[in-house]
Amino acid sequence: MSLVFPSATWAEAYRDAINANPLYKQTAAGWDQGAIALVCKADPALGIDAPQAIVLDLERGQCKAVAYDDQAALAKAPFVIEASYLQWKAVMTGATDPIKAMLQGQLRLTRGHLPTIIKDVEGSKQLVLSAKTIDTQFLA
Amino acid sequence: MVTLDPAAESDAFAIVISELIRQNLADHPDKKRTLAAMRGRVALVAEDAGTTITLRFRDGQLTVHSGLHGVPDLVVRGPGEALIDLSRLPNHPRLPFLPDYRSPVARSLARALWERKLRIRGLSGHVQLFVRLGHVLSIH
Repeated sequence: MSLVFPSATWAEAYRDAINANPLYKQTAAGWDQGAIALVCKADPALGIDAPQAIVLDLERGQCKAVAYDDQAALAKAPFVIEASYLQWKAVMTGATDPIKAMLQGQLRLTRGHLPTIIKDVEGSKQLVLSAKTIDTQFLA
Repeated sequence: MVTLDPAAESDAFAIVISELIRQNLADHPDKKRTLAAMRGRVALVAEDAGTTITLRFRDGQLTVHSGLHGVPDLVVRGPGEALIDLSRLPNHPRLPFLPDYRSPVARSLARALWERKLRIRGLSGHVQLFVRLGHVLSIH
C-alpha cells in the first residue's frame, strides 16, 4: 500500500527503511551527533499549510526513533535540512543527487555545523536514498 | 577573514563554501595562517549543478564570488560530489599540511582525476595555491 509523503505512517516506514539500509549502517557508523530533521516547506497548493518536519533520532548507523510534526523534537534537533515538497520528491526518488541539490540551494542546511554534515556526507546521502525503497504516494 | 560577495548572497554553492571555510577556520585556527599566505583566484565549477564560484585570496582575506570573477589561477572542475570530497581529505599523519593520499576519499578523488571527471587547470604553475586550498577546505 502506498504511503502519503509526508505523514506519520510514511515517517515510520522511513525509519524502518533507514534501518534496513546496509549502506546507511556502514557509512553512518560513526555518527554520534544526534537528530537530523528533514523539513518540508509549506505548499498550500498541495494542501500543506505549514512546514512538516520528520525528525530522525540517529546514532551510529541506526534510526532509534522518528517524530513527525513534533515541534518539541524539531526545536531540539541539532541539524535541520529544509526543502520544498517537489525538491524532497526529486531527491527521495533519486531524480536529483543530494549533493547537487545542496549546491543548487534546493536542499538547505538551516541549522547545524556544516563540516560535521560534510564529514558524514556519505551517510547523509544514504539517509536520503533510503526513502527510495518506500512505496510512496506523492501529492504532486 | 571570509567574505561573501554581496552578489553571491543568493548563490547556494558560494554560501556553502564560504560557510565551510569559515567554520574550518573557527574549528582549526592553524588554518588561518594558511589562508593568510594565500594569494590568487580559484574557480570551482560544479558541472552537474551547473554552478561556478570564484575564491579570491588576497591580503589574508578570502572573498567568495558567484560565477567567474577575473582570470582564475586555478580552475577545479567536476561533479559537486568530487568538489565536496576535496574538503573530506584527511590530513597526512606526519605532514598535517598535506592530505593523506592513502585514504578512501583520496582514492576516490584519484579515480575521478584518472577518469577526467575531475579536472584541474593551472596546477603546474600553482601547486602551492592548490595545496593550501586543500588545507583551508579540509574539515580535518
